Amino acid sequence: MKKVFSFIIIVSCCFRLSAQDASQSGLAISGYTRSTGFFGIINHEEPTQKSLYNETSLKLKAKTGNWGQAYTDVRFRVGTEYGTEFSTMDIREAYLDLYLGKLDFRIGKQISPWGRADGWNPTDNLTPSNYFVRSPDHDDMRIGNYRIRGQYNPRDWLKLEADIAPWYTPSVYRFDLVNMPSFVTIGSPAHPGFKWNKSSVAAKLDLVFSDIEGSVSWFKGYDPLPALKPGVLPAPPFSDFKIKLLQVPFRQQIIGADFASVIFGTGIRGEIAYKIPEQGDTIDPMIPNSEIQWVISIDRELGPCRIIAGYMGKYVFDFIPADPPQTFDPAMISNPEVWPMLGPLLASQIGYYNRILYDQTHEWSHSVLFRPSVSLFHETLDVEISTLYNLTTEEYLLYPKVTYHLTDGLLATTGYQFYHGGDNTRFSWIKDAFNGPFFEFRLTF
Amino acid sequence: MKTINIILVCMALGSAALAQNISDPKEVMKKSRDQSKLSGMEAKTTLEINDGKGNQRIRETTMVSRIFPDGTEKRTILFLSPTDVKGTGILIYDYEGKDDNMWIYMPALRKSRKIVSSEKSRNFMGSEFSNSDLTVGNLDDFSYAMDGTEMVDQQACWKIKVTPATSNIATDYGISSKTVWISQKDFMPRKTVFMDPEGKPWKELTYSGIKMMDPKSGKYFISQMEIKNLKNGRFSKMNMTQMSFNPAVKEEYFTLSYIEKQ
Repeated sequence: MKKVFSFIIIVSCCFRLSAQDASQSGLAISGYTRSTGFFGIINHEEPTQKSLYNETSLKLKAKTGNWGQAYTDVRFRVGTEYGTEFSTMDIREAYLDLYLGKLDFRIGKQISPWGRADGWNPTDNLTPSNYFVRSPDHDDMRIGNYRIRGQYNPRDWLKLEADIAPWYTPSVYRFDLVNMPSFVTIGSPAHPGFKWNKSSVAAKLDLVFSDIEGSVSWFKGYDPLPALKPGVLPAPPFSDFKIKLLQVPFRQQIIGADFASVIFGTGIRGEIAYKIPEQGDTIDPMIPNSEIQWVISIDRELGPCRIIAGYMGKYVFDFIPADPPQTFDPAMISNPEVWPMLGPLLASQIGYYNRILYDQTHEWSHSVLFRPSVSLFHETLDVEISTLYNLTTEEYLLYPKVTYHLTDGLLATTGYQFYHGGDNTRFSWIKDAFNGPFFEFRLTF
Repeated sequence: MKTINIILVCMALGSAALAQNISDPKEVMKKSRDQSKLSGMEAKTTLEINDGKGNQRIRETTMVSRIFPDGTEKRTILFLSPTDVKGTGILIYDYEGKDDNMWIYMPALRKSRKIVSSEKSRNFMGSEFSNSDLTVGNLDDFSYAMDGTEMVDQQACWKIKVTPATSNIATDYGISSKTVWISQKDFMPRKTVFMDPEGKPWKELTYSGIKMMDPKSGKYFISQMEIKNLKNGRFSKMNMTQMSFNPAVKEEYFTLSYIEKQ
């Protein structure tokens, strides 16, 4: 069904291509081609190539006067990522826009993030992410999902939005790249199937005034990031102990709000979200607890420099402290006395993995970010460094990036990603996969 | 013939009277500013950025503006080229007597972002123009002194020295002073020389292609500007083409929804 949907949209774009003179039809073709390489050292071994690929993006936009437009972004990618060769074609977005006066509709595979804050957007719950894509462009983490979006603009200061996403599109978390025990395998995300009454739905009221703007929003549906759950435990005696973990989506309800303003030449943004995951008749320890997350950020320009600073806090409701589980030794399962405890032991371990995944290892947590950037030599050289520090878990990220505009449309980018975290933290999971230098040459057209 | 002579004498006297009446430099600047405020317009702009070594970069935008009954001037700028900024849109609400509101929509961000518009000294799109060169500005930010008259571009001009009212404003604009030559004929500027914070000549801005856009209310528009950096030889040119006076530019052009749809 999804493929048919995309096909119709692409065909409608192509029809406009052939049917009308491009200069009059409002047809625009754009895109880019880039070569990107990520390198690094894993486990103190020799420097290695982690990802090296070429990607071409072809974007078609066909406008029909004031009635609407069709848009597609198709990406062709070839190379290696995390040591695996690939050659893919991905329809990242393909949608139709329909403008009916004050009412707009967007139907199809689309990326429409929410939230006004910098760094974290707890109100953005409809957009899945590929957390492991290797690209210097943050937007490449976003994944398109199939949605119907309606926006009503009765006044220029008021906008009402309603979204429905009938197909579940999960975020991508490459557990195969995380240092998991050797007896653990991770299954692909389970799909809840297509049912209208199981769609993810969301609504937002946006208000834009001269001094302040903001929104209140509501979401009910699947968290894009599925929870880990234990699969069927093998029955004793265990000759070759293996366990498969499942990625299972769960539903939640979220009430959120955001704002942005400028005070004394400083931009101030904020966002807050109250997340209430849905539990069944019995409490599922694999599903995260209810939480409230808030973000406040400021940005200011000082001469050629721009500084963004932010703070994110989180409170987890009904929090029960838990120590990180001991490393499970498969050798001990030869002892039959351990067998009855095997299920609870594994559940405890997987439950803790979920706490790490959803950043719920502490009742209260606090993080800060600081991102200075400067544009030099008449905006031909951009230098920035993104830093992030989790005050609670003591994880941090250092991410310097330099982009040189060789000519208009031709960019050379280089940088370094350095994640650091202690045992049983998210950054410790990903640091081996991510840490290292990268480069990119990008030609846009 | 006698009649024509009388008319000419009257015109000359009238001009002199007009010039005398508004010889106050601040009044001249105010009239110059008011004369260039069109109630509505659309234009395509080409910005040439030259590094003085033969290398050139081109930026193209379209712009629409309209002054609304409460005095707020709204402007929408859409970037057409180069390709890496194509699709970027800027929406500006220029209020009377308070700071502007400005939003930017960048395709990579996928959402409009309210931005700080206070950086008056910052280069505009990597050119020699600063943001303040392209906006009307607040008259009370400066003090004005008449420095005689001079011919510029075959026009008799008032030469007015403009000095920031406070050191903070000087820092904001990145200059110690500027001298503006304003035509006594049409009250439009012909040249501006900017002095750097040390008081040395820094940039020279010249205006040409000045057109009467709205004869009914006597409004002009400057279609070409060239600015030279006197220190490093860089220069930039801004050329407005496909200009049209349109006081009824659609209101929907000045909304976030509009810049997000482009």
